[in-house]
Amino acid sequence: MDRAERTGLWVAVIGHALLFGALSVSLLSPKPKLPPANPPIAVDLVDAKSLVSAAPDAVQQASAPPAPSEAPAEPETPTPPAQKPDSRKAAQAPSDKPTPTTPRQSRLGSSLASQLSRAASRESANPGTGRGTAAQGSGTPATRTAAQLEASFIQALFSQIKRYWRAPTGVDAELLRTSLVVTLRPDGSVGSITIKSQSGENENNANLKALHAERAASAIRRAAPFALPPEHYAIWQSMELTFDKRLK
Amino acid sequence: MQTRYATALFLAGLFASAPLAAQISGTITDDNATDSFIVAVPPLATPTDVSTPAGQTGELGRRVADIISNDLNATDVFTPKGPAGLRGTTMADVTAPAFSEWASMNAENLVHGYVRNNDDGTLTIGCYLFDVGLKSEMVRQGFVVQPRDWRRAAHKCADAIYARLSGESPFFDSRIAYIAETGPKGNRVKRLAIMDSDGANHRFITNGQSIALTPRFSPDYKSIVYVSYIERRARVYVYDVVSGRQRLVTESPNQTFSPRWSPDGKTILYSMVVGGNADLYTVPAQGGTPTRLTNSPAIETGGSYSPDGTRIAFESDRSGKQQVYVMNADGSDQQRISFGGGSNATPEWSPRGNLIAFTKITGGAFRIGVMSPAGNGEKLLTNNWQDESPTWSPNGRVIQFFRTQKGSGKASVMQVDVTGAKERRIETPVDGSDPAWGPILP
Repeated sequence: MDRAERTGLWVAVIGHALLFGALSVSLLSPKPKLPPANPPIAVDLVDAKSLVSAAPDAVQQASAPPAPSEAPAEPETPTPPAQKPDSRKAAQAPSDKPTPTTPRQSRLGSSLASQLSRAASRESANPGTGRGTAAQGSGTPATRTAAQLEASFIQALFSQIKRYWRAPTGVDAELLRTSLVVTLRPDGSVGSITIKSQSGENENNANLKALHAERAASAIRRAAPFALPPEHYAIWQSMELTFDKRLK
Repeated sequence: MQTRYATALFLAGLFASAPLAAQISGTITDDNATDSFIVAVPPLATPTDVSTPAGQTGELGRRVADIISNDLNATDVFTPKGPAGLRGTTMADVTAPAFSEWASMNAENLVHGYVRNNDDGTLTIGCYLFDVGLKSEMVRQGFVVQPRDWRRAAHKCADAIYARLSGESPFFDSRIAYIAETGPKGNRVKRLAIMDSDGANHRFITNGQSIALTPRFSPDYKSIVYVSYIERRARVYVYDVVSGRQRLVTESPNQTFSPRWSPDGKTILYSMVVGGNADLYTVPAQGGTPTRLTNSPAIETGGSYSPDGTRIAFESDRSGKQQVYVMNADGSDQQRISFGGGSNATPEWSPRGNLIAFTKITGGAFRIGVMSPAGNGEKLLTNNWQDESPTWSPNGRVIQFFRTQKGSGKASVMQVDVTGAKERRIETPVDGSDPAWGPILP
């Protein structure tokens, strides 16, 4: 090892030591935390709350939902976080909607979510006769991730179908499960419904199998058309939905 | 309540049958405690309101709707509305219902129909079922009947609607035999009586001089077997509904009881006491030589055929107390199937073959239960002081039985869905016991 080599080696060792030191210091120093790339959203919980209070009767007797035509007149700008969406929602949500979308609104709070649920309310206020009400304009706040948006409109979609889903009754009827593949058109109407699979059949409930699938398909058709964000059509154009029953 | 779902991304082409890959998947759960469809049943229309032996066709339209509504209400599937309180309908309504009007009263399904008087003196009763939400027709049926049979046409309409909406087989167009009871507790008069499934067309068959018990309609409804009890002797008789005559099931001095028809109506199964020992026997329905099926020193009774006629459920106390057994129709391969505790008696095989109804006696109470023919899945449907002797509706979905009140001993015919829902009392002119539901009318 000649002199030049030794010098070079020392330079390299000292340089690495300095670099290590610098890195250590910078790592220990306080630094603003990055938000999680995909913050968790309590979709199930929200949905559960929303549906728990679903009281179709009480809801239906509540009077006239606001005229659908008036809704678009409202400013659709993203609601400032400070502003509580609750009061506005409560006033708007026709009681026909499986209840107080309030908890869900307050959590999601996005303009899109409001539009979705308002459109869904409008829809459910006049099931079967409503026209396609895909939300106009996304108005997606920058803080909303794609996953959250997806969760919100899927949640609304599932809730809407659930309102119409009534499994057949009978001995062991609750064991039956039907999976359907549903395609939707861009306007939110139903394109096709095909049976993918059925399970849970036994001697007692075999006679209810066909009806189980029919009622599942009927729930989708009754709930349609769906108000879904057109820019996410790629996500919702096809769905696999499984219908089942839980005994109380 | 909760809708479980998960978003899942599936690779394109995962579902060959679907035009597009499913991007969203999830489970939608029905967790409603009850399943009840609101069905609007307004009065049926008539083209022209004319007089018939059964009354004005306009009035018949309302009465037919009444029967349909009552029939549907007896199930656990429907909440019928009307015809009381609903507007009349026109022939134009029948094929083009005012869906929005019915939707506004939250009806999910709608029944329309008409009563028309035909030139040959018959009536045509047409009935239609619509899906209000989807604005689609689900059932369209017409029945041409003699005016005296207008109620049957109404039951057939109700059956068509029920079968379409429930997935079950029809059962309203059927009859029930039972024992009508009158008089004080210690000296009851028990008469054989028959009625339609809704209690209409009630008729007493016997005059009450002997005690009648455990009737059963033959599959063609032409005969009824039952036990007549005189001077402490039980004898099985075959009663001819048309001629009104009756004969002993077998010419024998022995006591006979607990009769049942084979599903083809060619054989009668019964119990007979010979030398103090009760065993199961069969005899050709037209008379002949009895065949002994069981041969134990215990009491064997309560035989009931499986719907295919190959097996028989019965009760025996050979284990020390009453339990349910099954065997082949020739008496071979006898096996106990009830092990759920207490005593278990009066087995009755479902017309669908999938279940056996029975009476469970435990803790001093009599309750109605069902189990599989292998003895699995026991489920009790009632919880009262004394419920006993189940009988199945023709479609195996509903069970009738009778309930005796503590103290007074008054008995009434009851009905319950096989899921345990919708327990109700069947109205009879006097107290009733031992109901026996016949098959769908031929």
